[in-house]
Amino acid sequence: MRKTIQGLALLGVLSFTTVFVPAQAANFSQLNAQAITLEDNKRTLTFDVNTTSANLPLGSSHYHAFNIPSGQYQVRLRSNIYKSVFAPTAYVLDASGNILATYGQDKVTHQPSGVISPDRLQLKFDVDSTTGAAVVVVATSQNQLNQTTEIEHPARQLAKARGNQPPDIPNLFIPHSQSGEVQLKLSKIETEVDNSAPVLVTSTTAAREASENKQAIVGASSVQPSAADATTSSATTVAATASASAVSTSAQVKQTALLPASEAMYNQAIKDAVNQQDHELALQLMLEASEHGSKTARATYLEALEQR
Amino acid sequence: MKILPLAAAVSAALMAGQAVAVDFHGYLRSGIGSSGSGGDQVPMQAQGAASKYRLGNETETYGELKFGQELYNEDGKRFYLDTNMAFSIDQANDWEATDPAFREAFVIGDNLIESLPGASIWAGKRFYRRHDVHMIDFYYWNTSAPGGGIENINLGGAKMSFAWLRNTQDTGGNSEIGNEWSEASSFTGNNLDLRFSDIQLGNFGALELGINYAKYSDTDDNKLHGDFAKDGFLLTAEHTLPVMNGFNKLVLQYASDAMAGNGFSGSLMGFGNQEGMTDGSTISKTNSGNAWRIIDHGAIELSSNWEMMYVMLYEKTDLDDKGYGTDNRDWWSIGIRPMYKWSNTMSTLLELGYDDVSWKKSAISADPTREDNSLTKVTLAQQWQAGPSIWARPALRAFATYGKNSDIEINDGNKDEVTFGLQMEAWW
Repeated sequence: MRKTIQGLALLGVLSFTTVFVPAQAANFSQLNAQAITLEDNKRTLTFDVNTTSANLPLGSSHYHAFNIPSGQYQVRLRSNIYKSVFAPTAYVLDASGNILATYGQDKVTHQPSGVISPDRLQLKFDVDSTTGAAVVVVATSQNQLNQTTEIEHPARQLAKARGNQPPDIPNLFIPHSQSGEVQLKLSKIETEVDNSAPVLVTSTTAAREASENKQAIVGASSVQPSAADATTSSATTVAATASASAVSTSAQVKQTALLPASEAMYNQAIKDAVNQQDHELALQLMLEASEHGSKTARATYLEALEQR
Repeated sequence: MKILPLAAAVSAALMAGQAVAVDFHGYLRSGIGSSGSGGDQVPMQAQGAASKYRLGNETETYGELKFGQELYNEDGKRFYLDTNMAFSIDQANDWEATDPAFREAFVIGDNLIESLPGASIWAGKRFYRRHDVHMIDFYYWNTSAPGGGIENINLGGAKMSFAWLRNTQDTGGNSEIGNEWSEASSFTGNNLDLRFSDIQLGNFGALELGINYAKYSDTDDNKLHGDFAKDGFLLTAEHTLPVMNGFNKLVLQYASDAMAGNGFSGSLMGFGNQEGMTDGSTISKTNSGNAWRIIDHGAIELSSNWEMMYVMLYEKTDLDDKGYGTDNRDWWSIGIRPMYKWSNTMSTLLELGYDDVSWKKSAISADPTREDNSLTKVTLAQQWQAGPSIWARPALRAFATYGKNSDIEINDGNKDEVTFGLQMEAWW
């Protein structure tokens, strides 16, 4: 229902090569100098003709830069879809202006309208000051400007909400714009968990609460820290990358999707391991598959445990 | 050391599997209004018109709360449960008790029949593929009822849906409707609904065709009087053309006998009872004959700042006068609702509507209070809404409405009236 048109995406990639301007280090340290410090980890970023612009690696764009507070944070950028939409791209820079990571259109998801929100684009990623990440630059890219976002026609949305037969009309294609508003929110990622604390194997409320407090996830990452490398961002340049001290969190962006065949192999291996009562192996397989983007490994693992 | 990661993984997996989310959809409108000559806001509607122009002309609080949940989803097979509790109150006071109506309670299953991929089967009370004109709140094809059926069978070039729906009609205690002065209080009816939708015409839009056939199911002890038609049908053809970022719909409908009362929409409405006899008793109306209607309506984007809804409608009922009188009348209606958008969240709306009703002699003899009349209604509203679409909600609006009836008093001895107020409307 809400897809970006593939054809235009391709067009975007093609034209991207023509507008590519190599980033200059000086340029980026300048961006760093302009970075603002957030007061309460929230901000509405307005992009319009009065906003400063620069030649960024993914295209010339208006931009805003902000400092990353000390610690690990999840960054959430949301852009409401009206007659046009500002599609966000984010560059994570270190203190010297080197790009540690770039999050572009492939990380942008569409959030359908809800009780209190219109359709919107969302970009979520993690930053960690301990890996040297110092500044986030929010902008848009040439690739994104060449694309549109497909949303369900509001007349159809209304019909569905009211139990009416939706009119037989096409979806709308919303152009991406250089202007718009982006809601920025930083959420601290809780990492201070005592891994030596016992966690009960149970389906009770206590266990769920424990898992919601990230104990489960952090505990899991302690088993396979190296797997986190695979999920860190696609650093475009130089310098210290996040992989230096891998930190996996629940909010880590899964970048790769497993091939169906690989997914099936993992699931079979998990089942076999559980049947042979090799829990250590089953668990590691499940985690590895999940880290690589498997959406079924967990369910398969649980199911195998239950069936045994 | 083994237990910790195991525990962690198990609880993580549990968390993933226990995502319990109830879908919450619904509709709500409420507000406050007043009339220029004093008192509460009066609605402006022509006598005999089956609808009214709704902007700045709704005087009640109405809501629908829908809670639904996917119960199963595997290999493309999916079960979904949905409910709908609706209520309508006068918006006169703080505490207004109401008996909510349970309008929907059904389960729909997708792709359950292997040989019919894409088709869904369902049973329960349901809003069934309703078609409406939003700006006059008029449901011209609405067979919603308890029922069951199969939807969206792909025929290649069209999708077929079939449903069996229940219509039960109250006699209003009128013994003449039943045979031999029996005490029949209601008659059960069955409605068979067959539709062909998604008939794509290339660049010329899409077509939906349907037939409803409905019949009272009387028993030896509960027989319909011989003067009343036991059955009837409704034919509907609807053409939808995507145009100017919106749509235009052209609708033709023809109803016969027990389906052909005023405001016909595909459910049995063959008999009713009404006030009107000079001695104060009630009479029943005849229900054989026919009715037809043509509607053209839509919502279009005129420019980046202007959008507009519009409707043109003509309806004629021609029932046989068997000495009971009829509801026969001609009704036509025309209206526009342009919207100017000052920003993504603020707009100004104007709604201009005109209704005209001419009663036939047999209808006036059935109810002497009936008069030919026309109503002109105009509303100006300043609105704040969540997005730059004429469909965007929630909306908050301040409105002023002027209405003038040609012949019938609207309020306080006057044939015209001004109302004003504040209203919210939301759907989600």
